[in-house]
Amino acid sequence: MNAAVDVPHAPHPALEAGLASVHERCLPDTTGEVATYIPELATVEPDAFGIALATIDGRLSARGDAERAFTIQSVSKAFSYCLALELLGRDEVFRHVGVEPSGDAFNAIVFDPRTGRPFNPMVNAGAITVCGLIRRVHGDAALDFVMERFSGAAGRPLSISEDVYRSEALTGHRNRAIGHLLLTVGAASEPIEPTLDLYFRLCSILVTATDLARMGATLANIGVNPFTGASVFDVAAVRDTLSVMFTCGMYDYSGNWALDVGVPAKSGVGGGVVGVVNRQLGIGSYSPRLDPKGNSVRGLAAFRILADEFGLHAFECTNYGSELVRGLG
Amino acid sequence: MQLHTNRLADGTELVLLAGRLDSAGVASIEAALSAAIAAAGSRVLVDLSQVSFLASIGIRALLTHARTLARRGGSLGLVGPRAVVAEVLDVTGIAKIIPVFADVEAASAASKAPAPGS
Repeated sequence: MNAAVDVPHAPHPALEAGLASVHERCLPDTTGEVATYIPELATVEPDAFGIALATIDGRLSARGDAERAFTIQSVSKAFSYCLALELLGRDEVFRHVGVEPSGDAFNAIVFDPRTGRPFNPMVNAGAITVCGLIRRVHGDAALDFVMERFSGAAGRPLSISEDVYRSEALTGHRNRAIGHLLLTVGAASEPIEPTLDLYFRLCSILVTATDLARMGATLANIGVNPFTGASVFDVAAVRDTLSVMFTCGMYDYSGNWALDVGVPAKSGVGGGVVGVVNRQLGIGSYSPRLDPKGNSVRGLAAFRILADEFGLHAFECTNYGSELVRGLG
Repeated sequence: MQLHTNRLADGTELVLLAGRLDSAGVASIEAALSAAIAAAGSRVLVDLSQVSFLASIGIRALLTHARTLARRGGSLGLVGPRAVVAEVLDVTGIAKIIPVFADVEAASAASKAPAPGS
């Protein structure tokens, strides 16, 4: 653990102005619908909109409802995958869950026909498998372990919405079905109910757009929270996690996202999106109105504009590929 | 974002841009810029002295037009960027792809100078 950063740096003026402009431009869009398949999710304020941007030198900019709490939902999948990679190693994790985009909806009950395992850890089947892997190492202490790491990435103690958790657990019949199917293909092992319980709880963690920006910045900063100096994630696991976020993070919109935005990201049906610009930025957005694929309408729009403004896309003509190759002269 | 064009005595088309060349700025001048490039002769200079912010989408637009001109045997140069814009052009390596000049006179002098190696 490094020394904590005592004095927060002032926000970067150009990023601050860019974020304000993006918020202003996306705010009028009230299309899309709030998720209702988890009853408690339908109770949120539909037109809330917050966006935050954190740099790896510890600067934070935020606009709108960036401090409004919402449930992390599938955004948690990226971070729990990162922890499973660290706990069990890449090979063991790969034996249980693949890294190929499925092209299917997030809640699909479809496994890779070649391997019989979940396509990737960003769909429900893969994330439930990941929860089982974390439980294999930490047992009943798995929740505490994950909460401590997620909190370390956010830079504050996170908590769970008991109301959303109960709602998820009571109505999660499809995820239960997926859990039992995972048993039949050997991706998960008995008992499945505690694994599902961990999955439901991790989806019910309360975060803000600012939290997501800081968590993204922790991934961007190779696993170290740039605001606290805490070492949260493993170096190799961060690289693998960002890779899977890039190819699979935005449900069955991931290919389009790669074209339009071109940064690793993960969205959740709670309305959150986290994006990562390697070695530079974490971006968090919250707007609960979703498009038909389950992604936040304003979140997508905001990321598209930010990518165009600041050259975030990995293959933007303003970006170099390998700084190491540049360093060779 | 504003755009004005001015044909110089040597036939060079001088395109003056003013404002933020960001996604909204590019959208507002894209058609006029394309028309100006299409109507221009072989040599175009884009005056950036009144551009306060150059976004990556703006750089992409300038690069696209530079390539269009190059394909028909012409050239595009950038003129008079403010320090913040010049820094972006330099750090992103775009200044190695599109020539950047301090002012129109410097650009004209460069166009009259013999090509390197000739």
